[in-house]
Amino acid sequence: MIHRALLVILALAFFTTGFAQEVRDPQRSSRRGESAGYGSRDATVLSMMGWGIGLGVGIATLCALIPNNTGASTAHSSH
Amino acid sequence: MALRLILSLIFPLYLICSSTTPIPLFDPPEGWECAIADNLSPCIQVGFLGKGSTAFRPSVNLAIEEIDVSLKEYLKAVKEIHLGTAGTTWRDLGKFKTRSGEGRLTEIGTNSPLGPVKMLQMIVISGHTAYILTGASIKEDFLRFQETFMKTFQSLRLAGDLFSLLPEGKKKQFETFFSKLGQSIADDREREAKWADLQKLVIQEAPEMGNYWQILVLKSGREKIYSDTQTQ
Repeated sequence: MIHRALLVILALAFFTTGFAQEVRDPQRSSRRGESAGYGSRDATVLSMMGWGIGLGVGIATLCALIPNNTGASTAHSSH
Repeated sequence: MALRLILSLIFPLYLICSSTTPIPLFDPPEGWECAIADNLSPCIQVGFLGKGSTAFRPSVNLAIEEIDVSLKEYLKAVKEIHLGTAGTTWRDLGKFKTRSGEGRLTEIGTNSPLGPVKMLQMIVISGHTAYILTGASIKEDFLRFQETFMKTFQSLRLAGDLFSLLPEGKKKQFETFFSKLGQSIADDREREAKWADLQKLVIQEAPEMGNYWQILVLKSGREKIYSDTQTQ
């Protein structure tokens, strides 16, 4: 009986693990420290390109940040 | 006997699956815009942009990397990468305290077509993952944004899941809402209504969690709402 209860609990825990865990997983890079290198390179790229979306401007435009196949708009607001 | 066998199989499997990478959260500077990340490297999770005195806008981004070395060894590799780039300087500024534990603060100097750039980069290692926050501004604006970058870096925290840092009542509210997402959506109209409800919930009920958290929750929820349309 106890075993059965434990089995049910573990099974439930197993299937609910990762709830809302939709963040991109870290990847092993080909060269150690590569992400830090990309971090600084992309910081410069971002700063020069200067494309951003203000959350207060309209949260629906955040669809543009979400890659999917639903045909969501990709409205950009440049500055 | 059979039950014991099943238990002995399920438990290790559960432990493996439950030890997923924590979600890195941080508070981007107030009023900064979320960057359109079309051309960014896959290791970059998100970027935010502020307003500077020139066309070069100050920015902050978060990168992650799976690693199997200590912070000391990782820093050595990072130093090599930066100093291997022509015209780039790199300096270790020492220990740095964040809400996710102690990290290391470094300073990077480089050149861009818009002028000399100064960056602060903060690295925290937790488990087998390096969390890297980088703040960049044009050199002449750096003193103005230095404090902003440090404050953002200090806010880095690691959450077990998206809702684990919410107060108990709100956590339950979000979990209940999410458990119903994607369940038997009749048509596009209902789908749009659910998406609108999610946006309302995120904006009204958890403004204190910051823009980055809100984006992650919206992304996660939208994927659930539109999951069946994506497979068509």
